[in-house]
Amino acid sequence: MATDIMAVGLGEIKVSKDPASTLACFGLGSCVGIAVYDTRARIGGMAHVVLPDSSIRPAHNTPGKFADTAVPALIEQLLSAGAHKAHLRVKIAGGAQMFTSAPGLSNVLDIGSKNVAAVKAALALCGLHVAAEDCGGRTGRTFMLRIRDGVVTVRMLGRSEIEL
Amino acid sequence: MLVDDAGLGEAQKKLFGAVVSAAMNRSTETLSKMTGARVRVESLRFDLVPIVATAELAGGPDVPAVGVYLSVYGDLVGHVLMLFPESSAYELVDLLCEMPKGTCKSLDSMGKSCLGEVGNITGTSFLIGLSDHTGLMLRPSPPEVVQDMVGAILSTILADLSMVGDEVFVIETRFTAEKASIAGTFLFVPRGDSLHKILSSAELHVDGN
Repeated sequence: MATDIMAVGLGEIKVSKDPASTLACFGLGSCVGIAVYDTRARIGGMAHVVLPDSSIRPAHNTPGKFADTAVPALIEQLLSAGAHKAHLRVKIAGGAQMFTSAPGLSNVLDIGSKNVAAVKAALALCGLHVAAEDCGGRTGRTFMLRIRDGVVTVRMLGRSEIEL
Repeated sequence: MLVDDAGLGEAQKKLFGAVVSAAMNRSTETLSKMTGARVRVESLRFDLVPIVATAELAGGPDVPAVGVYLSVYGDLVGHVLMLFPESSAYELVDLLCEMPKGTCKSLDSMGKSCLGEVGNITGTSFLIGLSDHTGLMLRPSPPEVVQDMVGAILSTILADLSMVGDEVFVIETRFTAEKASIAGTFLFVPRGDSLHKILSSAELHVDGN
């Protein structure tokens, strides 16, 4: 079956119930991709989180950019599309540390691990937990969620694609 | 160029273009001297772009690349990132180490150090060029070399910029080398009000001359 790839860019949230579609966060580095899938209704959603906490920019209007606002917004969009919270399965990937010493990035060098922790905390607040993850390390990832069957994959350079 | 949104007038755009072109030419001249291959600027653009649109830079977010990163300090803050397709990065290593083309097939610590030096010298040349036309004191950090997908290399820089806004001002130069299949993208991303500092200093510099 031909697949329609829907790229989820930095700070974006996308939801789909089209069985021909696959949601994808391409080239995640320190960002975290969150894939949430209703295993019965076969509705899926993905967020591409860049930063852990929206309190640094109180006037923002990009909920998908911050872990604490992206998680509830993603869940709300899924429920509006017909998903049921009890059937949601969550998988996450990303949160790598891409640079080790760059002084101009000192405030964000370990932002990847902070993003992962903030995503898990926000999920817990929504009563959800992570079923599978591929996070951390020093390598970028491409993260995909196939709507037809909920299969989630992670691809890295120099490593075969894995299913989460 | 989509610079209107950055609040720049026609004259400012022209001045900014001239300053950045001069700095970039200085940088590619340095790269030419280093490699012995004549490197020329293929395109130069500066745009205010939504952060989400940066995915299109340097071929797309999941394209494999080698990035050489330098932080910029002093009178303004920002990021310099050179992105090379893997094949170009390997060929650069061959050229600099005076090895036959095709010798370098992956990056070891010597190769990374070689490319770090390319970033260091060309990035510093760019900053000196910028300094010459603005009078601003600019300093680069030591280079850091990362080999990964373009999006992953950019992600931490964009996380830093996302702390202050949803759009970034990107100066993007694509360059190619004659008689060598080397291509790359040179990005300079000023942070916060650094863009306007460059402009006001360039205007003063022009008036002062």
